[in-house]
Amino acid sequence: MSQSPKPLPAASLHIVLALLDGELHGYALMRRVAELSDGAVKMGPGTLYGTLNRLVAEGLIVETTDRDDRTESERRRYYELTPTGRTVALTELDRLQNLLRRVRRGLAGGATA
Amino acid sequence: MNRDPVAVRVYGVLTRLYPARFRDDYGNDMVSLFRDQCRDEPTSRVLSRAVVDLAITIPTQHLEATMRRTTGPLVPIIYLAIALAGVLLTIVGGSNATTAIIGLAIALGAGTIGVVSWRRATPVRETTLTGHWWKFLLAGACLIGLVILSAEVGIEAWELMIAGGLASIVLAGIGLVLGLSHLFNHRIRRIPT
Repeated sequence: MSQSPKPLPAASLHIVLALLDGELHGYALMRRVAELSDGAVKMGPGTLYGTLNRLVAEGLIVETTDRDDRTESERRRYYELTPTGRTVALTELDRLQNLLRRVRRGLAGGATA
Repeated sequence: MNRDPVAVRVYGVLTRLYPARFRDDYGNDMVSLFRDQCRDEPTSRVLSRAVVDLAITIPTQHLEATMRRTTGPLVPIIYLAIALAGVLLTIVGGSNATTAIIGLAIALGAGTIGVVSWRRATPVRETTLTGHWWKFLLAGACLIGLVILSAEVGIEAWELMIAGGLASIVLAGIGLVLGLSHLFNHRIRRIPT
């Protein structure tokens, strides 16, 4: 039986979940993470690009080409999930849903006890 | 001529503290993102967040460049060790108020960065009351530091100091009990069913 993968650190988790909707550039990704977390998670540039660097090295995301017509100095790099990254993101989503289900079940049990 | 605001230019200079390879790969993107943030939010808020971000990610990137793997909780542990050294400096600083203030500042600054980086480095898990044990322990340490500092600078409100000392012992005790309970719960959850 295969062992369940190790949960992603918080910053990596937020990024892969934010990329489930499709490719994003750095600033859009940061805003999407803030939006998903109701403003609770606001990544600094160091955290964002440090995590992106790690996720690229782990093969969970890839850099894609700029879709807009910009000058070289303004060129923005976009990132998207690889098939492995998408699987990991969906596994993490499943883990979080299970966690919430267990907590809710526990709360309901506590309320009736 | 560089028309960027001062904050963006200062941030650009600070990104030179990252390892060369990381800076070459992401330095321009980071400055560009910081510029976008300053455009959309008050600069003071963006700056305060950037200071903590730099304090965590610069040592992390250097360690990762040296170790060639992820650092895990190493950076938070280093900051928490520095915070502990700050608390010790405050306690054993003797009658020197300057030493006590420096010790307390180190403890608070490094402790805050340590806790923030710890939370970023660890996976999202179920949080319970026992998961907040460290807040009680930190509050107890800060309170005892304040009491010691007050005594060092010659404040003679003894009733308040005794109350503060007792409160810090209670807070640290609660933190310790919650921490042990948290550890115990974790061990129970790891047992396969």
